[in-house]
Amino acid sequence: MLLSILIYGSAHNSQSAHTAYRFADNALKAGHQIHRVFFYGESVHTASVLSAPPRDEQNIHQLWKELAQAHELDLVVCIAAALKRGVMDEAEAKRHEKDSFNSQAPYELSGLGQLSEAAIISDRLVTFGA
Amino acid sequence: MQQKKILLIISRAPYGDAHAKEALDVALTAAAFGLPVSLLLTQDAPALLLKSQQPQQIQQKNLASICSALPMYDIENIYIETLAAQIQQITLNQLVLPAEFVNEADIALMIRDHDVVLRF
Repeated sequence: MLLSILIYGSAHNSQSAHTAYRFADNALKAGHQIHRVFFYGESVHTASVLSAPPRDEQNIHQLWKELAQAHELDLVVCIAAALKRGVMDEAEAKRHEKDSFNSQAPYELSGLGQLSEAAIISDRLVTFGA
Repeated sequence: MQQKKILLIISRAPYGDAHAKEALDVALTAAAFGLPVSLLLTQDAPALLLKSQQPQQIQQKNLASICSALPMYDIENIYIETLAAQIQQITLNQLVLPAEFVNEADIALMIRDHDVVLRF
């Protein structure tokens, strides 16, 4: 089955990004394909490379990054939700005249159209956190 | 492209957090992609449509004015949970656009009738 995943729970104050990660990992192991993972709302903080949790805790940024690299997943972060929360890649930082940036591949900033497209293409759009 | 019907269910009050605004952004984008969009307001969300709201007093953008533009995006299926409206004493003539009251059984049918259901 072709799946897409929408995450909108808080990256660090809810379990949703982590539950979504475990779902995605197991769906891939079960032979399903993932068309896109879309980060919306508070979940956009998952895309920040600057997140540095204690060593004995899970690093949700790293987990998604490694899963994406292993399976060539399309990790899309809602650009409007990200920018207002201070999550941006180098290009956006330049455009908004910021001194630094905190997001990079495999996380990609893009518009909500990517969510609509995922809903159209996928057999199921599975959501985590609200 | 295959037509998929999207149902957005908002249950939070409009200005306490970003959910209502972010749900409306999804609604407008999905409609721009030609997807049929329905909007259901439950629990604290019906206040989103009140004409009398004055969010400028707390320096917020008026979400009701975004809502009044929904028909221009062909979003005309707007539903309000009857019980929520009763509790908050909200009537249809207080709203910025036409909506329809639905009960729990109607909501169950709506969820079954849509291909994609997103909750905010």
